[in-house]
Amino acid sequence: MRIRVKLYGTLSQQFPQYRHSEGMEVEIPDGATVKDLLARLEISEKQGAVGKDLS
Amino acid sequence: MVSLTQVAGRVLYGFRGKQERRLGMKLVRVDMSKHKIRVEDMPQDYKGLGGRGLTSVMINEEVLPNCDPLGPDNKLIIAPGLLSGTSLVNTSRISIGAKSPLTGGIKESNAGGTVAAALGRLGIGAVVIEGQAREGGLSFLRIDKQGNASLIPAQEYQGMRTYELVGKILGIYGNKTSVLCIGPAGEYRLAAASIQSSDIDGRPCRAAGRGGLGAVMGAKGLKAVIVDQGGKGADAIADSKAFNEAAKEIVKAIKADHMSGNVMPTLGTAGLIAPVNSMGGFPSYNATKGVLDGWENISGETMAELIKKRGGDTTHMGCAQCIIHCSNIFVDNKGKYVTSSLEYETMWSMGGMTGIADLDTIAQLDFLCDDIGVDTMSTGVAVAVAMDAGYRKFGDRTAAIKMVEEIGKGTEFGKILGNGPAAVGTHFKHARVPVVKGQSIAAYDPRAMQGNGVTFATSPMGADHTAGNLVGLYLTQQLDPLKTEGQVEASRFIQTVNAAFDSTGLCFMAYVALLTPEAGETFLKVLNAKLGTKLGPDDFPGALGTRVLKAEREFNRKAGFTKEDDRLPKFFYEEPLPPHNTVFAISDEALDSTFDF
Repeated sequence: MRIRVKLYGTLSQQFPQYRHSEGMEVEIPDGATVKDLLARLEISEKQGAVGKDLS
Repeated sequence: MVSLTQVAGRVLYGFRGKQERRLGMKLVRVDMSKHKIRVEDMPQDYKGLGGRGLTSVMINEEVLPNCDPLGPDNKLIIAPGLLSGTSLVNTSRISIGAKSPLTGGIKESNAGGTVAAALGRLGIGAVVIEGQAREGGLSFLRIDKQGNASLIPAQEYQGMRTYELVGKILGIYGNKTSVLCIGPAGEYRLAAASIQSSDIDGRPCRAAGRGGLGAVMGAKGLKAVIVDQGGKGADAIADSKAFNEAAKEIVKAIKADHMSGNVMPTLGTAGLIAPVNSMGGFPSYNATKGVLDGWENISGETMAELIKKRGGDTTHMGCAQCIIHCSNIFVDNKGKYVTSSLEYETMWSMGGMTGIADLDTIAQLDFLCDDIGVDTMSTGVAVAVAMDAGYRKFGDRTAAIKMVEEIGKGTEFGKILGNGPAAVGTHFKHARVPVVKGQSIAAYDPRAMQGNGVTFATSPMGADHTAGNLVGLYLTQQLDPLKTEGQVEASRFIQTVNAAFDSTGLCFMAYVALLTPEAGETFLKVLNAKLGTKLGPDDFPGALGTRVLKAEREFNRKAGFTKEDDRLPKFFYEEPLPPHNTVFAISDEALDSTFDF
């Protein structure tokens, strides 16, 4: 299936062509999980967590 | 006119060859009643204090707790941090303190810009504004690069908004000038009036917004404090070699930190919009929902893309000696300046609370507040309370702008709005007013972030995220925001840490990178090298933070505050917040144990 992914924080730095207003289309197998998607995009679980106080 | 250098040989300096060696910081006391200025050595009791520590200890010592905040007995204290004026990066935070007309208690409001560094370079530990000008009297306080302080008649600037005012001031005194000033709201003595601080570009776009300190400044008859940035009389560093070495390590620690070194320059504080909405903790529509419909339209990611497309600046340097660059310059669709810097808390108050998911409107409201001189947070929440009471509909952009404009014009309704959300609630007889001790909450709903509720309830400042924000612990999954366990302890810890660091002049965005044991040790080296002390980890942040909080609570106690004032408004305990449908569940007993040091 084809899905649209939006990246937040600094995750988009791994994808130079990424435009937030458009998001990113990704092809993943039917039944794939979020974990599968993260693996496909090479986003580690550690990166998924936001750091410290921002404000 | 009093000159610091006139008395230099006698008091300030011990000359050793060509090298001037300062013997300690100075206090500049300005008596607005008699129009007299006195410079004195920092009293022994205040030594080792700066920023919030100095303003709070001094207020507790010198201000009558039951005084009228807008009367001659209150004191407005402007204090750079212990490290302001040194070469250490990110140390230009200014603390401004007084008894607050908004809360009736002690207040320290902290702002960025350039003035803290400028005062530090003059060796000035605090400027204390005392007494009160005759009714209608208005002055500038000018401090030149020799440290000469003088009061200058400023009647012709009466009613002037801050951008025009600062433009005129820089035209007279030059661009290398730092300004703290008030707009019409401060002159009207409104309880949510701010003191605006000029940034690197000379714009009055940084704010000591909380607690209505602009009204205290207005009541004193002071329109602006104007400080030359060219001072060369900074307090001596006890061990400059050790200081410089440790200062370099601090730079490395800040740059290496993911949040300070990467997220902040990429998105600024607006990077919180997405995660906090995802957590269901973004108080929206006057705190009736935890998610704003259309939050994506105002997310940090959307804003950064829009600013870049329009030719603005997403990595703007706003404050002196800043290496983080969390600031931005928001421009319109023709590339013209609208405001700087659009920050998370303002985007929440003007966007989330009002239901206005539109960046251009929020930016315009932010500019208006800075220009009129009112706190963006209290004002946004005041607008939201009015909307909730049925005065206007949530999401009505035109109405929100018109309402804020009324503050600047000084209309009857504008003055109600400019007195903050509680005044609006009273006016409309509307009970859902998210304030503690009269001051509005920040962009974290206590029902979805229980620990932030603890901070809001118990901080001597009234509801205030800068007193102790736990969102970082929640985002890194070190603490479950919906559970009651661990929240009081976490709030106690961060409130103590913040009270200490806010005494140093170091920006919060920098010191979050220094909370590891290694970086903390390096920071102690900097502090000890500056002061010639041997402080250990128990002394800083622990003992200093505790001392500051105790002084603040003592003042509030003497002003009549009791534990009943350390509570959230009733609706946070009774109305479940979607989407989690939770209420604030920390018991009164637990809240009362927050300061069991």
